[in-house]
Amino acid sequence: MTSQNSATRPTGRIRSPQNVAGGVVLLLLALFAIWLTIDLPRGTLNSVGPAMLPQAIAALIGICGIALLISGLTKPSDYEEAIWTLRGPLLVTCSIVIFALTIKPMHFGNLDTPELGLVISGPLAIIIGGYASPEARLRDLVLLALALTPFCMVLFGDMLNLPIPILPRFVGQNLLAGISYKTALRVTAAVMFGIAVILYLTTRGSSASLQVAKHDEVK
Amino acid sequence: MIKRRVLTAMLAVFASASFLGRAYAQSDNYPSRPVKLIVPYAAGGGTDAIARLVANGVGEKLGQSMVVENNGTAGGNVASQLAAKADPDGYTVLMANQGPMVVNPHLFESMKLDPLTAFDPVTLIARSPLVVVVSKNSPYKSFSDLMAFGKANPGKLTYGSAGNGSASHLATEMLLKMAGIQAVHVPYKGAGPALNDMLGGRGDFMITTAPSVLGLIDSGDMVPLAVTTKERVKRFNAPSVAESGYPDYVSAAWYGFVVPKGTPAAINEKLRKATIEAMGSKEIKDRLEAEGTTLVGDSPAEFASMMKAESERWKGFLATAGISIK
Amino acid sequence: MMDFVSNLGFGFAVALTLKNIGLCFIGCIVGTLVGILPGVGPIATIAMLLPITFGLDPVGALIMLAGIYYGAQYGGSTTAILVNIPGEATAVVTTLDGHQMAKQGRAGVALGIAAIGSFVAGTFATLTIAALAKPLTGLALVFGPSEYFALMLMGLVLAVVLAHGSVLKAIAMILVGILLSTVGVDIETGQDRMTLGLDFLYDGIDFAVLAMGVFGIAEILRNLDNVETRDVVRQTIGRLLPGKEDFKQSAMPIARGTIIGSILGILPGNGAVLAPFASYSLEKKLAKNPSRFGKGAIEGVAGPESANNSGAQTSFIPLLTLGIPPNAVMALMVGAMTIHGIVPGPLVMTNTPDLFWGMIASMWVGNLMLLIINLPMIGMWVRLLKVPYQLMFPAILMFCCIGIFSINSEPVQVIVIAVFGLVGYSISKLGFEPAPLLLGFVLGRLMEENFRRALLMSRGDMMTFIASPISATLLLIAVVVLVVSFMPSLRKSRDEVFTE
Repeated sequence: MTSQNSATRPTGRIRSPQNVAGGVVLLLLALFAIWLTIDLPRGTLNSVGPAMLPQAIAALIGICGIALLISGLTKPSDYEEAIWTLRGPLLVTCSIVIFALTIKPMHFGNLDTPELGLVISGPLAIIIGGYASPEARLRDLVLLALALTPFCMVLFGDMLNLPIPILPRFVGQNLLAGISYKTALRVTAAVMFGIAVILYLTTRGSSASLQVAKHDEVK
Repeated sequence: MIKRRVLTAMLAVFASASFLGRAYAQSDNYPSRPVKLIVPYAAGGGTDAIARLVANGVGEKLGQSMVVENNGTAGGNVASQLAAKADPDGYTVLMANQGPMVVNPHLFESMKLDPLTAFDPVTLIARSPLVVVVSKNSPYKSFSDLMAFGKANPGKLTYGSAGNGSASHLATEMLLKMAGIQAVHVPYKGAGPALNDMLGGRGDFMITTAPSVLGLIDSGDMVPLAVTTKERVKRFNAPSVAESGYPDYVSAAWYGFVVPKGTPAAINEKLRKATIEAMGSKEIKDRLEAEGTTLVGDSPAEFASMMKAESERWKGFLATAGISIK
Repeated sequence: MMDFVSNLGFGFAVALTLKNIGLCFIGCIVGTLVGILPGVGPIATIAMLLPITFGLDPVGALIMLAGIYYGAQYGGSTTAILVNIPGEATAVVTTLDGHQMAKQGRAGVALGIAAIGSFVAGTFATLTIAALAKPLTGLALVFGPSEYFALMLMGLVLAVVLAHGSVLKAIAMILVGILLSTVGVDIETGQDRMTLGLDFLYDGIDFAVLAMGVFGIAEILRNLDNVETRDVVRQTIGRLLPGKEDFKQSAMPIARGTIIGSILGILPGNGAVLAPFASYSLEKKLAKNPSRFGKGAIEGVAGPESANNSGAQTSFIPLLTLGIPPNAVMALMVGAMTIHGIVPGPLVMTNTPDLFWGMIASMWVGNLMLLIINLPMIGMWVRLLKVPYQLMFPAILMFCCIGIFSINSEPVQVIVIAVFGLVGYSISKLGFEPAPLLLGFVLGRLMEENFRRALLMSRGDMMTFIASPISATLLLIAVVVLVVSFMPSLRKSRDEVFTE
């Protein structure tokens, strides 16, 4: 349907690079899916095998890809050219991956990631992710991290009892007998929030970055 | 400069938290933080309901909450792998049952873990029968009717299951094999949707866990033809499969606690005591027994030998039946 | 009729005790607050909050859980409208026009009409349950695999209508969605399909992970590229509540959505998932100017939101009358009932009438409460949009991470949202839309399962799909809709050729 020839307007060979790229991506995806399922039995229509639907769908995707490719070569599309950037995708991905790697131990062969808990993973995710925006300011992000993390710790860890590691593993293992995990959690959350408040008050005037924070004394 | 300040700020938080700690976790102050109970099924299922009920009671006895963590990925294999790799400090407990402990190692070709050596058993909590059910409009009025029809008409019967490799599927396959019957298996995702089709008359029979079908049995919409435990169960007006001509047949769902290998014996014992105490509470007892479940609460050694025997049995059966998940 | 009134009266007597009103209120408010966090949908919310009901009596506990359920559902719609992140499948449609309205400064109107539509739908659905729960059970039993297959196929065809760009690209995205839904261990043979050897793909891709990636994270990435569009969101606020004109436009969509949702919700095979976008497709077809859809048409919020809510309510019918949970949320309710010592099933009505009727009455009370809680809160939510985006998105990012982590306590799943985020970002740069993909994903899985189940039961006889009048009718509708939806695009491309 979209592959009709609009023979007028004779500009370059590729009329819509976006559609051409889209078509190629679809074709590649179809080939990838067929390659992945090539060893599985397709079965017959009377007894459908595991590969039947994926391969049938992949074939249809391939047809769509070809149609899109042809239409991209022959017809201009009405989409404006997309701007691709690197900063956003890169930093946001980093932030999510770092959260995943620090929240709970994962095992890659002999390599284990640490369990640092939400108290570390949360701020890391916020601060690294925050830099994805060109308008990021460290002070704001640190404040946000120090305010939002204790909120989440108390909400998810304390009130909702969610099985999410809150404090680093070594802290959890070294607690005094008399102090329960929840108390430690609350104290940490309160300390973080306290730092956030002090940071906010002491750096209120400064707009560029944090200059006068006296958090070293807080403990 | 800024970086250093942020770092110091973070360190301060760290220090304030770790300052609280001194001694390493020992059995006399166990537990000093919440204990995690890993359930190898998604939230909301029958196993999960029992786990949450027991966890609540055990948490009360231990004086620390017992937090349920669900992970139903890959038939529970991911959960058991996670639990096996956790520190053997008593803060990670696995809700052990038939699938992940004794069936999956022989069912999943990809399973690397041997659950029998990776875990220390704590105690078997409960044993629950599976029930052979048909719709109230079914022509089969008794278990022998059903078996007789199946034998006379190979391939005519259709049965539903809660999923490929589920207890419900395997219990049926074992029965069919013993009886020499061929029937078509229609797998579902969970017992609920499967029961719906049996109820609507699209399938002939199903073997399923007691809690999943209790409501429909009580109302008379589904009829229990037999139970899969060795003895009859008071809750159901039906004979056992074993007494109906298949004396070797037994297939019960069971639930227990295991901890990662190497957990100190004192901690294991503390956990076992708390579990058995919790099981004794009227609240838990009444609810579980109302579903036809038998509470057990045995020793680690008894639990271990029971799992070993079960594992052997399923290994043999799955190999001859040729059921596997690649 | 007398029975109906006296039963409802009995129910209200239970639901309107001070304690139960209080529990319903707490449930609604907690559900809304947790449900509004991006990345935390109704399933996660109920699973999280289940333990807080342990100490209550069964009636109170279920009333509170039901409150949490509506609250979470409503909270999810709020997130869909404000930040374009659907918490579950049924909120996908709300993002289409709801978020556009927010971008045009009409977030308050969108939230308001969603709340009002939901209330109307909830009231109607409550009455339906009270009056017809028992007889409607029959309808649920009539639907077998071949009927569900036909229904899902019809749904997929309707999904084409959702797209507002190229039809070809929409079809491609639906197909990609179906393809993604086939990842995981094969339900019948247990063979591993396209899992790349990864454990966490065994049970297939999790809906929340996919949605959070292609919608949530991708939306952040798009916004980071696009300074102007997102500033519109926070600069203009506009009116807070729907005006007269809005009501006039929404009245019929609300009525139609309510009915569609009520019918589809009854089906235990998760028919409710179809409700919102069946309503959306219908409104788009009926509209004088369908091109407004996808650009902030209020009917595109009012209809689907009503359908969503009435479907959510009537999906209690299979649970209450058969004890069969139609979806994951209802499975959690079964778990909750079991924990409280109640056996879900047909006997709930006779054995524990106070629970049965009390819960039905509390559904209405819950809906009323949501309206009362939410209308004043709209101002607050809208003000949330004024938070500078460079602070808002890191917060969303963290909530998404926590929400996804909490599903299975699996860090790998968190990494997967980053991957899907990049995928979503790339496909939107190529001019594709993520909504048809998600719907293809949800329906594709149900379609394949039921297709194969139907063939197993008929021993491979394809006639089974036409043998039943219901599936034959549904398939016929699918074919007609497919032809009709191709017509304008055929016509349009012909016109283009002519005008050029």
